[in-house]
Amino acid sequence: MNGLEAASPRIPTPDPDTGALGLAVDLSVFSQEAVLRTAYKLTDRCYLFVEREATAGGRLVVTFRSKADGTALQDLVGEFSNELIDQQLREQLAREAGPIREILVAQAFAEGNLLDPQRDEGDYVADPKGIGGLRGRGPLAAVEDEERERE
Amino acid sequence: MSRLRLFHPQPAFHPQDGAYRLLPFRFLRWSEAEVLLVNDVGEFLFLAQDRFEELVEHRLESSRPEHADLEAKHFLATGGSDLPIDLLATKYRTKKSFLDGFTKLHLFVVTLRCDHTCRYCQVSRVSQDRSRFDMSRETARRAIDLVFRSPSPVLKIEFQGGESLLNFELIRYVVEEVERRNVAEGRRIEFVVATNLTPLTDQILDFLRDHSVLVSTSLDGPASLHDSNRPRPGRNSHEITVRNLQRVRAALGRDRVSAVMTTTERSLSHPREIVDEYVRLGFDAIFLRPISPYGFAVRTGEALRYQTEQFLAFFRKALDRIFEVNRSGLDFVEVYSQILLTKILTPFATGYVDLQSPAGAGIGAVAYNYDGDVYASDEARMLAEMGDRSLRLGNVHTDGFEEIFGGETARALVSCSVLETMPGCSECAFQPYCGADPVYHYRTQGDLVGHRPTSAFCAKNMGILRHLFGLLRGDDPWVRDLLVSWATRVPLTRPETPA
Repeated sequence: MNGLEAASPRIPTPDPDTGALGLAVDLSVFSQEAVLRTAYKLTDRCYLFVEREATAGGRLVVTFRSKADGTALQDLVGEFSNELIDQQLREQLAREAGPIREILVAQAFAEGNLLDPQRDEGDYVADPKGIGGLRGRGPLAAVEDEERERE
Repeated sequence: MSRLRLFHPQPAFHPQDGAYRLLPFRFLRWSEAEVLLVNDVGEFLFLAQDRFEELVEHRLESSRPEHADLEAKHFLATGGSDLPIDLLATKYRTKKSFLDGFTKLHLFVVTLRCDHTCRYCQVSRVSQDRSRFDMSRETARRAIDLVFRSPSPVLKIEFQGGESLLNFELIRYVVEEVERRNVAEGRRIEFVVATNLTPLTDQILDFLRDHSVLVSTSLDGPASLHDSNRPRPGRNSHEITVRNLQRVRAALGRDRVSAVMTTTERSLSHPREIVDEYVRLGFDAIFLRPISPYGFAVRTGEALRYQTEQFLAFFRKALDRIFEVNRSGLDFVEVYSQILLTKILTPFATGYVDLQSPAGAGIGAVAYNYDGDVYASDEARMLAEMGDRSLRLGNVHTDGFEEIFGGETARALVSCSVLETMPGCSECAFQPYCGADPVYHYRTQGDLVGHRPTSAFCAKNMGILRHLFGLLRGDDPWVRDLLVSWATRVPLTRPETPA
């Protein structure tokens, strides 16, 4: 189970009247952002309607509708489901390594001062933001400080 | 004053299994069995699916050879050392070094006049006798003022048309004026003239030689294809180009002239013949370019006649032919692949403005139109010739450097071309190798950011990058060596003997 609606791994079948196909996504497993990023990737091949489920809540319903006759919606749902897992993983990786990415970009462009433009206002001798100390302890230390603050 | 930095305690050098910190990277499902990992500085690694799962779940054992590879390439870090971040930051800075120095490439559209009526012309041409479409000296002088406002120590000035040599007197003026001012400025300056070579005279050749001007011409392939794509009175464009190519080489030197080709619908079925024509004429490189959707290419429908998939099939076949040429012992390069491979296989940046994040529009290159209007790229200028002047940055007669290069349009082009923040691109594994083309997306999709799932720019680059990675991952070590040689600019020294 990937937090998708079906209790079995079967992909849902299209509604015989509308031709549309609905997939409920459990938001306790997948984030809304991951769902939207995944939906975006398929917007060239079908229409996707994303809405919060009215009754139970905690789930998003993604409705797939063909742009042209003959589109294999079930294949797209399968692709969506796999891609959703990757997008959720990317989000997890971004959470873990994101602060390091910010630090390394900031360090690469240290002259440009990307992290806090306000620093430019401060006196470099007074060093009100403690930049000298930050660099002396190394960038990983700054990440650890941030993590400690969050905890 | 320096601070004393001590060694980390011994356990830091013997990490526990799984006790590592993941460094930033992106991934792509390469196949059922493998995942391609790429980090922010373009280093890459193919990892088996199960190893990938172990990696992201912090279960990868330190005894695994992949663990060492991942650490060496900065996908993970063990211990408390800051060194990986320091190294990554240095590499990142190198990869983004194209930002240093601001605008380096300055295009002067010296005239819109042209003697050719090319089917795909990306410029809305006008006939030769309308001199009101020539750039004036006063306009050129003001454009030169702006060129020298750029802080870059290296400046490249490229003359474009129309057919640029139809206004040769202005080219002479600009070169001499720039050289005169540069005595005090001390910049490193390179001149390039883009020309179909038809108006070439001995007097022009002497000038180009005396002032070290590089020449870039157009060659679409064998005569029948070239003349069909590039009609002119007499239907002899190919003959003139080839004849004058030899004159330029004799006068300036073989390495002072290059050629670009444009892929039309007719080209698609002649990849071998096009490559062979470049080889026959003694070129050591070809740049396989699709048609751009501007100017007459749109009006004639030429830009819409083939799809990206067809171009990619053509590209792959042409590349195969190029490999055959190299196997025979001749060093011959495909330039677009070389740019991408440089990004994939070396720590260096390239100066190619279409594959940068943020895009090079304005901050890497700028185009001064014949009438003094300034555009962020030649393509933005072409768009204006089609009636849409919304990407005009200003005019040399009415606006200053700050208004032109720091204005609302220039800023929008930059902020809408940062791949790291763009939908579809922010998580793409190929991001460190790719670029954004806000002008292209504005033209084709009506939006500077664009819609990646339907973007031909995205499809082309994804297709070519996948093909190149496939070759790097493939089972032909000779091809891998060749691709490395393109990236490093060190030619292969061992031609393969045909079986």
